[in-house]
Amino acid sequence: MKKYTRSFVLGGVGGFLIAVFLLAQEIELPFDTKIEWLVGGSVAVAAAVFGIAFVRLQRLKKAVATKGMQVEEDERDRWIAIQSSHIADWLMGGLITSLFTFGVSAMYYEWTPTWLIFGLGAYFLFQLVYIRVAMKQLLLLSHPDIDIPEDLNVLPLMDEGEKFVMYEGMMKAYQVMSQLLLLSIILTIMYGAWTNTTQLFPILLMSFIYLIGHGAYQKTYRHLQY
Amino acid sequence: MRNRVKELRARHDWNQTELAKRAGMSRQTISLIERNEYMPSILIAMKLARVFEEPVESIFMFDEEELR
Repeated sequence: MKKYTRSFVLGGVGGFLIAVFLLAQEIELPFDTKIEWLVGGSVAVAAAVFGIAFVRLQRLKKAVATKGMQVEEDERDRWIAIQSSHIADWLMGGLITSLFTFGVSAMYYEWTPTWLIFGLGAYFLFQLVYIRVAMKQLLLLSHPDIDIPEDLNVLPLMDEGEKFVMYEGMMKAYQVMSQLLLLSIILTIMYGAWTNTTQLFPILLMSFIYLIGHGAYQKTYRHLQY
Repeated sequence: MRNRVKELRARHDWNQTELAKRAGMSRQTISLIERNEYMPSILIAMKLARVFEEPVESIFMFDEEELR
């Protein structure tokens, strides 16, 4: 079995087990409504994505530590940079998925405190903390010779080539995310009009997130200018 | 623009990481320059010229059309 397929299966199995455990506390199986399926599926996906990111990070650390790669140093550095980028993508995907899962379950249960909502909220907070720890580990793997600042802001330490690559990636990611967010706002407005329900809170929340994201992008863009 | 960074690096028998350390820049920057995916600043070009002990214009070459 290919190693990535193995990590994906491992993450999927782990996610399924966690989802069954959490949901068995609150929802009688089999799931009765589509929303329950959505919540259950979201929990499984969130846990699976985290599992994949965690397993891949451990494998990368092991590969670097054992120096098992019989390749040239340049190819080794390039491989580490690519793997780190993939793992960072999975970590962000896990964070977004956990937030989505928390939001859907909270709205479904109308913000009534339940173990499921508390558990998913705690899981999201755990992701926030873990992503910071994991990003520092990734930075240490890809840049073993520099002192990583406590705030993980390595922009001042980058040279122009690294800033160029980050800028290119950031431009593409920002454009995709902002378009998705705007599309979500439009769909939410249309949904509100179609169902004659007030969608003010989600629209305001998404608009706030869009503005925060735009501000963060501008701030980073100014740092990357050279 | 063309450059001879890869050729000169091979002549000195350096890998990208070693050249990056000598020139005081990241390996990623060296890789981008060699693949012509990035036009370096004058500072980077001068650093490479000093490391290779060659004039800048012999390392980075423009086509006539680009200079018009």
